[in-house]
Amino acid sequence: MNPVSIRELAKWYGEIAGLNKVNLELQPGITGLVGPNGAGKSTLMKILTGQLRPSYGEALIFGEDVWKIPSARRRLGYAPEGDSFYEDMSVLSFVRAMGRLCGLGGSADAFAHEALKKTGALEFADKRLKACSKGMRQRAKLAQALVHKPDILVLDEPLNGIDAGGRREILRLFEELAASGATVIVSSHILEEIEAVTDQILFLAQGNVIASGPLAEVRGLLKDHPLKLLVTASDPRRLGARLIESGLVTGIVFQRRRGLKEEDLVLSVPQVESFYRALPGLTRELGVAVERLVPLDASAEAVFGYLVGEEMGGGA
Amino acid sequence: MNSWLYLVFFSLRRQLRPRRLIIALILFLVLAVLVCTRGFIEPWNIKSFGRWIIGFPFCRFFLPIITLTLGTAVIGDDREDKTLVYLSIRPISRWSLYLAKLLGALPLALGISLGSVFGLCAVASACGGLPLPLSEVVWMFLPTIALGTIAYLAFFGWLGAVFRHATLIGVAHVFLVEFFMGQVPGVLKRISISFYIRCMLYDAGSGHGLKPRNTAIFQPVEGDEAAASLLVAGVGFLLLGMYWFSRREYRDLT
Repeated sequence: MNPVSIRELAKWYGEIAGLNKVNLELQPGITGLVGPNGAGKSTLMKILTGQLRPSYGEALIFGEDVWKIPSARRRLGYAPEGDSFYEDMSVLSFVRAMGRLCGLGGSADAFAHEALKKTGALEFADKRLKACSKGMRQRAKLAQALVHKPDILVLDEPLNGIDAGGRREILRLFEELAASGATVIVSSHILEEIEAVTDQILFLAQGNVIASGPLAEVRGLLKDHPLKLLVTASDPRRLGARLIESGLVTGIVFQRRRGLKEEDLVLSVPQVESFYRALPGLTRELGVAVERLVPLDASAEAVFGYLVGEEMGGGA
Repeated sequence: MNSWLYLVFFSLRRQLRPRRLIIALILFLVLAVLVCTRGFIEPWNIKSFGRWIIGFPFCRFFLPIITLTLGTAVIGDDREDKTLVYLSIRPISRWSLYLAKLLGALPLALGISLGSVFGLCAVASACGGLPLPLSEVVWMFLPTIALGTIAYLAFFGWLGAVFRHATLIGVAHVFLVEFFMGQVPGVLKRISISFYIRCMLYDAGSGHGLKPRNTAIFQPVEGDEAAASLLVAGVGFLLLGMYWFSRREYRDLT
């Protein structure tokens, strides 16, 4: 049974569609939710955590409807985006209290310490939340989501306000949780963050899932947007001519490196897999050495830009 | 069950906000000074004390205001502070979440209201020389105040679950319905909770001459009927609040 099953899920706010018949099956691992404001990320997360009732369809946690069956939420941890807390509580007492509300009973204290340690919040566990910095509060919020060791974690912008070093730690924690079998659903505006820990990404726009799956696969489906590859080669002109002749690329731009005579090639590649398969043979045949090969627009951000452009009926 | 019981305790602790307790203390002190001053000028008896202190400022002002601040805070505090999200994502059904939060506020509401009645009776005994032993006077008013507290708390709790600015609506209700409409002749006043509290009060103190100033205008109901009405109001608004909260989505949780 899949940890998360979403079937025909729709949510209407009056006449505005927050989500539009979304179907999803999420497996253990990290899934990134990507989309602009109003795309439906928060609505999806709120329905998944039982805060909102679907207008149509259902959201199931291990086969149980999360709105109708409260016990389903026992396997769920959620860190909301908002920066609201029981301000007069200490970090430890807050996390412990949330643990007890999940039914941890007397063991809540030990679980709270463990969650605080994992999120790097143990050193300020006795500090009152109102005296904590934004980064500390984010860690406290994560700790309360983790305290009861849920199978599914839903994290809305969990890296906001955390410094670069802290982000790396938290991302490592997500990877550890995913490796231990948890399903981690993370939304973030900063796509690079999500890309760094998973290539399983859901692209949302206007209440629809416009693409999902590993980033490379989604990128490969964008036929109208050939992948742009930067190539540094020993003889770029010869290589470029041969590539055009072979039909593997649909366009070439020669780009002079700053202050140097050498040129790089920027290739437009429609069939990425065929290109990668053929390239070693071609370079051998020409006796050209390839020093560098960098995809310029395979990032989640670029893919998202293309997808949104296509969804709007345009093209990026 | 374990987490639900903890939520009751958690809610009680959240209600113990110093500002709220200070308001209760100030209101009590004002009433206590009034009781003390009047007691020195003219000795209290059950009739005058019941009518001019318990029946009027206590039941129609002190009790509604205290239960208003506690009742609307049951859901309102978490909504205002945007912390309701931390409760609504727990494995607790929404109706039982509301019940736990209201039950968490009940001991404090009862503690303040019954404690204040006890305090005022003690001040009246000390300063104005009530003709009955303190325990007897307190016991005379206690069931009325307890039922009144439950009815008011359930009503304001429901109001807090329904409206975002429940405190303002509650204040308007206290002054328009509980206070002003309570003076109006006819049966319209029967929609106010304070009417049934006063009916119970008059019934409890009837042996000591405690009765409405003008029975024809006030048109009281029997004590048992008043008690039953308060109980029905308390349980009814509690069930209404539970139903409302279980069905309602709070889109502004975060």
